Amino acid sequence: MRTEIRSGMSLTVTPTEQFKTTRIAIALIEPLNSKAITKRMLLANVLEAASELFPTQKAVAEELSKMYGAGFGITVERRGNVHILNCVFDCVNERYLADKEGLLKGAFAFLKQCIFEPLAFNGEFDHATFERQKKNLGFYMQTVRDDKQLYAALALQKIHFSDEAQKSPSFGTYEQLEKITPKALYDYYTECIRKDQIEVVVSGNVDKIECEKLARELPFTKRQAFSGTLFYNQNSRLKVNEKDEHQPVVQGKLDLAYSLPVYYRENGYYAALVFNGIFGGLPLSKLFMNVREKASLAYYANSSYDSFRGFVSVQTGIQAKDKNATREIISKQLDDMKNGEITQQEFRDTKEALQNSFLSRLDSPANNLEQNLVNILMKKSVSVQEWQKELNAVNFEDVVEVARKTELQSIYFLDGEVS
Amino acid sequence: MEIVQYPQFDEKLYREKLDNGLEVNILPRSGYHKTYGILTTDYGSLDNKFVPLNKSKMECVPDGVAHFLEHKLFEKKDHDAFDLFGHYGADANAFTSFTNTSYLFSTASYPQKNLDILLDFVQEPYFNEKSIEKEKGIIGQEIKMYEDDIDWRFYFGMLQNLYPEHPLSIDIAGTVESIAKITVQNLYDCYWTFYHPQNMNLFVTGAIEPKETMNWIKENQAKKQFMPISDIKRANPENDESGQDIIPYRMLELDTQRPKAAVGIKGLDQVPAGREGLIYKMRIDMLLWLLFSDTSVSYLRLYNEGVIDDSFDFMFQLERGFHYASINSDTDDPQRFCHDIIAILENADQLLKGQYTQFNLAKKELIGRQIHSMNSLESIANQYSGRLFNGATIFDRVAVIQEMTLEEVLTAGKEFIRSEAVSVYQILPKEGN
Repeated sequence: MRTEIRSGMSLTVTPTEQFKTTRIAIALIEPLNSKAITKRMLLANVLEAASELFPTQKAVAEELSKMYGAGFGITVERRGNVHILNCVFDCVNERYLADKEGLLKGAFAFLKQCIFEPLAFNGEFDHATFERQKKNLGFYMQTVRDDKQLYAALALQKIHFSDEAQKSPSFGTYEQLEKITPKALYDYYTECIRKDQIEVVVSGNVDKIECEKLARELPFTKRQAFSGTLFYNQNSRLKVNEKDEHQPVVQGKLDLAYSLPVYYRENGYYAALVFNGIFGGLPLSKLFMNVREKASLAYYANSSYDSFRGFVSVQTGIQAKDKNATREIISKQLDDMKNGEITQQEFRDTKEALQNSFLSRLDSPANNLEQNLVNILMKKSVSVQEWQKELNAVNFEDVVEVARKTELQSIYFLDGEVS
Repeated sequence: MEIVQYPQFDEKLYREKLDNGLEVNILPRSGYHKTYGILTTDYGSLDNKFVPLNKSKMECVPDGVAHFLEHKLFEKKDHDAFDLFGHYGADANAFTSFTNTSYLFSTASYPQKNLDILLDFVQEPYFNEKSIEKEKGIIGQEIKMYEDDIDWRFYFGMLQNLYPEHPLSIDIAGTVESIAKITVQNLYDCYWTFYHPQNMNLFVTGAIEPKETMNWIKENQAKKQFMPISDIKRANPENDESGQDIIPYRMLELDTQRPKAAVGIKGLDQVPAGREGLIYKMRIDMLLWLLFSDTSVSYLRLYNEGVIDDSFDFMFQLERGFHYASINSDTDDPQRFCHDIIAILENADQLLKGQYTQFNLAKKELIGRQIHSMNSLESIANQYSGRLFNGATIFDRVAVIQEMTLEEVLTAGKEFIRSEAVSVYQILPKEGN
């Protein structure tokens, strides 16, 4: 149940006895903006590292230890056209502890401290903390080059999207990072605290009234909630966009991007889930069976569907010499689907698998929280029964129709052949 | 069926050793939607020399056989077990470690059917020449993928320092050359020797009713015949306990962005058997936590001085026949990192003696972490220790932490940290990168 605490700030509490922990999230939501992505990532790290009361990482860590190994982290996420800076706190439910301490109250106090009393002086973040976090984020950006699978996925995203904010990695760019100063980041921080839509989400064996009381004590002022469209849409390209890159790697990466203008819970959405499952989203998909199992061309070959950005991407790890063969097999799988070449078995198994993964996600506190946030953004939730009904209603033709809507847009290839 | 009660956590574990020797553990979880089942054999990549069933002499098998067998077990004469799981809405997977091989599924739809599929595909082997040849291509790709994975190279680099002559220094998947030598006979030899129910355990947890589930398993097992076996004879790998074989320092230049450094300690002390082994392991876990976690004085100093960053990590691994610790980080100053970490290890006793406040705080932290992981069916089942710690579960770990004293931790530390057991491994970016 979602309750408005103030204009632009709401609380959602999901009481459950399923888990041995309580999870609290305070999400700061704003329209996605290419200029802010890097700042938000750095801000997340700076706020997480220190606050006035807990000025060092050691002090933060000790406070969390006192609360029985509570977990705390600030993450960033891009979802369609919004950006979410999510402060998440996770603590053990007192009933499993020898001494019954007021952990829920402590959790809110801790989050309040980190968000409202950062380590800052005269309108600037503490220089030492800031510089360290800036440097470490820079290091992280550099090391992405060492993770070739991620590197290729980011490179594909960069060539595929036309919008700057969609091109960028969700952790930002080095070029932007270099320019951020302790003052600029602090100014930006005060803007976020003043303007971002605030969603407080709690799940666990908790009392709603106590949660509401604690949420009201968070000094967020009135503001406006995000009111734009969540979904990102771009015109399709007439000519496929290709990029080849060379690096001294043993294994090459071939990644492809397709447009699929079918959006989350809109018309065709459930059919698109089935489509992606059969194509490459599930372990028994056409891509897995044909690229990996039958042709032995790759160790991995899969697809993923981003229903907030209307696109499907395919990722493979292959030998560079097999590039064309792999490409042909991938496009044949899609063409087969467009021509209705889907077996009853594939169709049934995929639905079973989708249902299994949907139900399984209900067993994870982190996934429950994420789903709660999505429901809030969508202003609507779907019950387990409704979801199952919608999935069951998908028929064969619906899936073929979705397949026909996909259009190849971009191809990225990381050459593994040492020249 | 024995019932182990864990009242502190509102949990009950049901366990029984079946007539054929298979050990079964069932942990029902209310409120959960899915069921997770994992079938494990006490056999991994280290077991490359043994007396095959019905033979009398030690034989060596090519490196990577255990992992290869794991892949091939899914494939049957006229079907693939993955497909069967797929028909019944289950995710299936398997993994091979140095000392275990596990097969698992997770489903929210047909627990009985999927349990049958799991037991049947693991207990009814079918290997043939043609499919083995094809698999060599797939696993070859997998091995190559790991060659590009710098963290994997870093991890094995340290193992090669600590265990240069030991199968621990070889990739679990073997090498492209070693897997080329694998034959159908190798697979059957390993299978019949190590996949007997007596050498295996099954752990099922989630949305299940324990008695009914136990009956499903018994019905399934009653249909099968297993040859009687005697004790498995493994040539436990030579482990130089003087520490003289340890390579004290190695460095590798790679096309990487930042230097990486690790300090490793090989366990030269004897680990006690059974539950005492778990207690020993958790004492060393505690010791490393006190020395290196982000609540420690040393961590803060090294972090603030820019010697370590958020990639800093430490781990202690203890399995059948070996144990070692590794402390590592990306760092701009690999020499300084290694020097400082070794100094901390050597002064562990002085640093921690009498630090009761810190110790009690660490206890809270580590107890909380255990309770956190009880949310995950996978954690509960995967952390089941089997024979290694005489059937200890995740729920037993909390009690071990509660009862631990600082003095016991420091005593275990003195046994474990020995200067002759220390090694350093570094990966540095190639010049001009």
